[in-house]
Amino acid sequence: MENILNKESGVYGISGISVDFRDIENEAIAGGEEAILALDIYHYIISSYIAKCAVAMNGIDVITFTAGVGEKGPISRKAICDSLKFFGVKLDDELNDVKGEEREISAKDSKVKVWIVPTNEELMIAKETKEIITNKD
Amino acid sequence: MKILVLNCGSSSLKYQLINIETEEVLASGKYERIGEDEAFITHKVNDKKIEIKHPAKTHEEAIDFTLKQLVNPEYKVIDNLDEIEAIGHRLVHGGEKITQSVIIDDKVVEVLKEYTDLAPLHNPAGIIGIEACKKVMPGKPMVGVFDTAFHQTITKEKYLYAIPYKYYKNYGVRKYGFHGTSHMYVSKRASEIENKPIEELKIITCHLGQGSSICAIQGGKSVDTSMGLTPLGGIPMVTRSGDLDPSVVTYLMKKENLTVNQVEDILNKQSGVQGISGLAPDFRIIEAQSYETNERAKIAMESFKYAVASYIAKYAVAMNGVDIIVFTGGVGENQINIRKGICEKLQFMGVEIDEDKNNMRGQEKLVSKDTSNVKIYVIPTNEELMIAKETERLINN
Repeated sequence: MENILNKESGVYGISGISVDFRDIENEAIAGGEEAILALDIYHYIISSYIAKCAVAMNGIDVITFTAGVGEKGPISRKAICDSLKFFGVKLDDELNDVKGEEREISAKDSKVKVWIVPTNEELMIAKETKEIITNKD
Repeated sequence: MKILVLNCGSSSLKYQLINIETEEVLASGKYERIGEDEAFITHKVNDKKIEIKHPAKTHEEAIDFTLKQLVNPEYKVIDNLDEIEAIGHRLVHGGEKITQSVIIDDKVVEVLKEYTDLAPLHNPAGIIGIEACKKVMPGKPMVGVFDTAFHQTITKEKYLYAIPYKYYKNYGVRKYGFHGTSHMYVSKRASEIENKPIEELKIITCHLGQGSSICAIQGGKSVDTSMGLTPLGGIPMVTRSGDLDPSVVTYLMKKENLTVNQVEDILNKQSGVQGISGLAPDFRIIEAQSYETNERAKIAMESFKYAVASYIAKYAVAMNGVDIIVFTGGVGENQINIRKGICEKLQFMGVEIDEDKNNMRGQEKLVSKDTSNVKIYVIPTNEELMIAKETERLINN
């Protein structure tokens, strides 16, 4: 059961295509129904969680996309942002046409700012380490 | 037209005899402990409650005795059984085969059998009720109204789980959703009260009771709902867990050497707000305790309200807006502070509940402020009436 849920599910399980998002995205662009379905499900669930987070915080100021798909998947970012019209999220399509750069990609009149921020866990760990070491004394 | 609505459980049956034109309940009741010598019927008529101990070995015997109450000279509501024009059966799981209310025939019984795996208590009980009626009232037209039918309009990207596709293909593992009759009824009522065509409305209905589910309804059609393959999915309920990280299941099975049936029992009967709080399986008790010093009761209530609010927000996103939120079900109709707590979490969406208007129980009422972006209604559910209306609709056609 654990193996099925961890290794054989997700967008791979739905589409049967590949464990690589890029392959699934390419298939979707080419019109592959299973790929489109898998990505539709993925995007819908992400939008749902953004909605839930808005409840938890009583609003949203900034949405940040990070990690592989977040940093390098403009199509996914667009699909997710387009589904959040209810929160006044507006993407600038030209600014969104980028991979791997730290950048604001929301339109000027978006009620919520949208950013791409490439993650850097190692730097965060280093900063935390410095903070704790310097405060130790 | 007089319609008998039946809801059969494995050892019980609930009934209402409804006059469709006036929507009046002429008589109602419950027959319990069918199959035992201790079986008894509680029959309600003319504001009287009549309890009769009467052994009923089968549902057939129970229905037979029930019908006798309807024509009992002391408190009859009809002169003879011919006055019952049709029977409406509340049925649960129709899978992908049942997409609306249906005239009951052999094919419908086959569908009930087919989906018994997914509703092992309810579907067989439904079949028993149908077969019993065939014997006791042969030839009487019967209609089946399924809990799942209303949600068959949900589209694939919303009903599929992100698990290997073959489980959907081979076993029908997908979201089905329940409480369909209730969600349909209260959303229709909301549009009637508002005097707006339901085609133009985005409604989110919250059926909060022993079992609870939320439904997004756009243009009168279910767009998404919180329960899933079975009524276990969705928000935490009285004793059901609702959604979980699926690894919780496998982790617990390893940790305590549990069988599949044991895990199912834990998640269905020992979880929810009862599981968190450790108190009795009663929302009223848990809510009351949450105002005292009981930390776990506080957390249980917060968890519940947060889950409901999250689903409302999620469905507002899915429909790109929401016009009306409806509260229904035992908790939704009667627990004032829970409605208030849920709505307060949605202030950022322009949802504003009016404390004075909300300070009531069990009435059809608008409880939002005039300035609220979203209208909030309390509408007591009436699944039996909905079943009767559906029965009438199909019989007339």
